[in-house]
Amino acid sequence: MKKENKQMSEKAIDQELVKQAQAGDTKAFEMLVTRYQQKVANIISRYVRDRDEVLDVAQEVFIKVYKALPRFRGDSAFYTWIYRIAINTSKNHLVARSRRIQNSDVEPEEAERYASALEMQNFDTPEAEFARQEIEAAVTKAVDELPEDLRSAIVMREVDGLSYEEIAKAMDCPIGTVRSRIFRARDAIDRALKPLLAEKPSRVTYVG
Amino acid sequence: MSDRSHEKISVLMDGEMEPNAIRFLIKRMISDPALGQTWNRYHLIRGCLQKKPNEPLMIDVADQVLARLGVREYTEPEKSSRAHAWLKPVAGVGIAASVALTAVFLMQQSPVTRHANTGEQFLVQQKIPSQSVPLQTPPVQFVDLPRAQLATSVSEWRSSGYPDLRTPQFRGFLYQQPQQRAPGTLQQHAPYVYTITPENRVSSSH
Repeated sequence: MKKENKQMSEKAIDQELVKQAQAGDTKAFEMLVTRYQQKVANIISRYVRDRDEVLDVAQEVFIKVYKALPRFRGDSAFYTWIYRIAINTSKNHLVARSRRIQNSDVEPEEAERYASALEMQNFDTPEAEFARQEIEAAVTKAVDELPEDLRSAIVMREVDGLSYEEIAKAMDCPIGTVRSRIFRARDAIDRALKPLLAEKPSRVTYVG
Repeated sequence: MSDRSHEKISVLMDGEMEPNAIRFLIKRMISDPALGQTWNRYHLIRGCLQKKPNEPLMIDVADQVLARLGVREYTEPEKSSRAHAWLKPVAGVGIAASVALTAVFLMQQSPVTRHANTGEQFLVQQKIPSQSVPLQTPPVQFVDLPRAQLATSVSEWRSSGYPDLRTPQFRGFLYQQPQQRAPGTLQQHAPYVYTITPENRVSSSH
């Protein structure tokens, strides 16, 4: 598939999911979130360093997306729209955090304690953080254990962001073979991942 | 669900699917939870491979967002509607009350006991007194004994809520205890209630 066709395909996925979500299908909204959650975390991480805060801001972004989705007309690409929301939410988060500390008439040590208390409002349990690390380790191990041809295909696709056509040229094989190799690589990693996801601890959210 | 469906999901998320097939597959994923889970896991793998070292791995963001919006409870083992959250404490109190009531009711009912000396089983029927005299002594009827006869307990029966102590072991203890006491102790105040049994009723009538 040519690069412009690939872009059309990506856009068609977003359009269909947005259309279903706008019609009230929660599952379609979940699929949109799943599709963009890591990209959104990547954008937020440029502004917010703390990992727990990144998780919080990401939630805020998708809450805004959910609320604004009925008004999204598709004039711009969905990713462009969500990208803007992520940047604005990250900036607002930083402003609000500095204002909270400035407005509090306390000593520096107290302010530090106050800031950390704010951070404590919403955090991962140690089990959840451990589960995250375990998942990442399992994926890394599964990739390392893949046969060379599968590993090269999945790395070129996911890490280097190449299209099937580009990978086919690089590996000197038909596009159908690339498609099959990428799928087999995903399937093998998925099999290593499934047992870990069965007992994944939940994230604790304190509403206060 | 076949490998072919998974392969289609793999192609779809790479943006390599023909546009006319996209709509159909998305609708299938929405309606089939297993395919939806595959979509989630494949994106989790993508997240692991694409994330930068300082970024957290994003898991379950959709669940958390929908929970915060009040659309759905966050993924707990027992999912329940937020709208019925107030029912939990009420149901808890109700269950506790019914268990307590059942326990009290069962303690008041001791339909079968065992004869202290012979070990033979006999039935004690307690007729519930009328409501105007709630704490009257219930009549006791002994059956299935060679010398079965009607007897009435002289002890005042009260609904105290304590366990029934009219067991063979406890009776045996009460009978033996005064004999083991040293002279001069308060034998006459042994804390038990005299109970008519077939034997002592017959002997007292002589």
